[in-house]
Amino acid sequence: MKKYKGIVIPLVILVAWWITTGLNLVNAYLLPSPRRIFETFMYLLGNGLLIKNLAISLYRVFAGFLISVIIAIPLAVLVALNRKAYDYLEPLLEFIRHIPPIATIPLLILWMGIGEAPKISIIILATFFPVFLNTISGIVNSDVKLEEVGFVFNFSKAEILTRIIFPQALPSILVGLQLGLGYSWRSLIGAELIAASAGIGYMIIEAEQLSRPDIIIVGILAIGLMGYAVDSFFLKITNKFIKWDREKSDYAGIDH
Amino acid sequence: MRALTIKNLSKEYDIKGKKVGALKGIDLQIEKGSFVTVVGKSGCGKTTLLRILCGLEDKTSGEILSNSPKVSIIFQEPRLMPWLTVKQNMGFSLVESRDKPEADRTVEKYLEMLGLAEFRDAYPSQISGGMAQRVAFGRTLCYNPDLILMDEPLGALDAFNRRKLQNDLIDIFVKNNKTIIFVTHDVDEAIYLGQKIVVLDQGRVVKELAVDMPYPRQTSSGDFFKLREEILSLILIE
Repeated sequence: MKKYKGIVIPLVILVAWWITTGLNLVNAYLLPSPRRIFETFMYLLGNGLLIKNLAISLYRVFAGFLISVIIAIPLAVLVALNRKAYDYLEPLLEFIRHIPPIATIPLLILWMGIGEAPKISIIILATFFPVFLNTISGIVNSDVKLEEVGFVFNFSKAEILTRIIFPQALPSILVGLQLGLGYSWRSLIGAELIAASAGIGYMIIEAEQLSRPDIIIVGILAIGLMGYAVDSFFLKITNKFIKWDREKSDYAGIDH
Repeated sequence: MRALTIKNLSKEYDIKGKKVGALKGIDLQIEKGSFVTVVGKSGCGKTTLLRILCGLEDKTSGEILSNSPKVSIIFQEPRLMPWLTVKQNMGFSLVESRDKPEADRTVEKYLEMLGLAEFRDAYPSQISGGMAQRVAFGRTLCYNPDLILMDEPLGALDAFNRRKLQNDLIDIFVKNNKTIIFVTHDVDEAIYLGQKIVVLDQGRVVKELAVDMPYPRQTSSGDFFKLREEILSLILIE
């Protein structure tokens, strides 16, 4: 039932869109009809352009995301377990955290050209903080009472870490990953709009120059659908790991 | 055989620069295979004593001579790992053990003994408080310590669950010949369970009383009543 409720509003918007364009209430150049969008969609699907650009964007997201996670999680573990290290890093991290990754694009292009490197760097920058900070908070907020259980069963420090602290931190780490994944899409499209020769952001900006609002809209819808699909897929996988946590609270994801 | 000898054990806390004594020269002998209850008001040092005995806190001075290599504690709260099922929680201390089939048999044995077999796949959030504390008992029994410390483990339970678990404890104790130090502020509980009752007040042992009533004890019997009056009069003196 809940599932169907979510379809109502998009359906109303689609019908309103249909009527306004069908009755020529708006300029067809500014807002093409749903039918026109569908035709363009089929056309872009047919000539492989949409798939190609989506695939390139997806590749960038996953490459950047993966590199970021590989750096952020171990670093967060190190920092969380050494409060002194955090004292050294905190002001710097707080400073960098407030810089939108997109603001660094010009500099990254200057340094790395317009190849893959600056785009993947943008994603790394965008994903790093949610993953890093959520991992730290997951570990730092681990319940001492549960750690004591490990102590009285004579666990080593490493065992307490892997068998008590990490599992407790997992939900928080996964929230960080989910947030990071969302951020990476946004910043990637930003980067592709500014300087790229392929990718879904590039497809959109090129359509603007060709005066093809239908392609722009197809691109926007594709980004939304792709983000939705990736997020659902991610949640589906992670829910298996933290069934115990998700069952007590009706979790729906957090975003800013 | 002695399980534990405590000599002149003291513990001081530093609270805003002031030294506050939680334990002031405790002397105790715990025999192997005995069920000892420690009773006293809150703040009398009961919990501190247990936390020092299992190494969660350091003593300030005194001596603890232990013949019990494996000591474990059951806390007031179950402290189960919420991401593990009942069965996995029970076997929590056995995961690293080399003999997996043996570990599995141990877990199964205690699941049966504690009436938890049906709930083996449930998560802690899905079971009641009494059940969760039962799992905590099972987890400690699986670890098979020589000395089991219990810090008011039944304090958070309702009267029915409480009596049931008290009887289970006696049952397990008689069956497995465990050495138990059980801390409580409930005088009736101390008498119902203990073979020896240690009355603790303001960080000192006020009295040790031997109880030779057979299990299960009648809470309405004259001996029970006399003992209760005696303990209450010891603690109530200011």
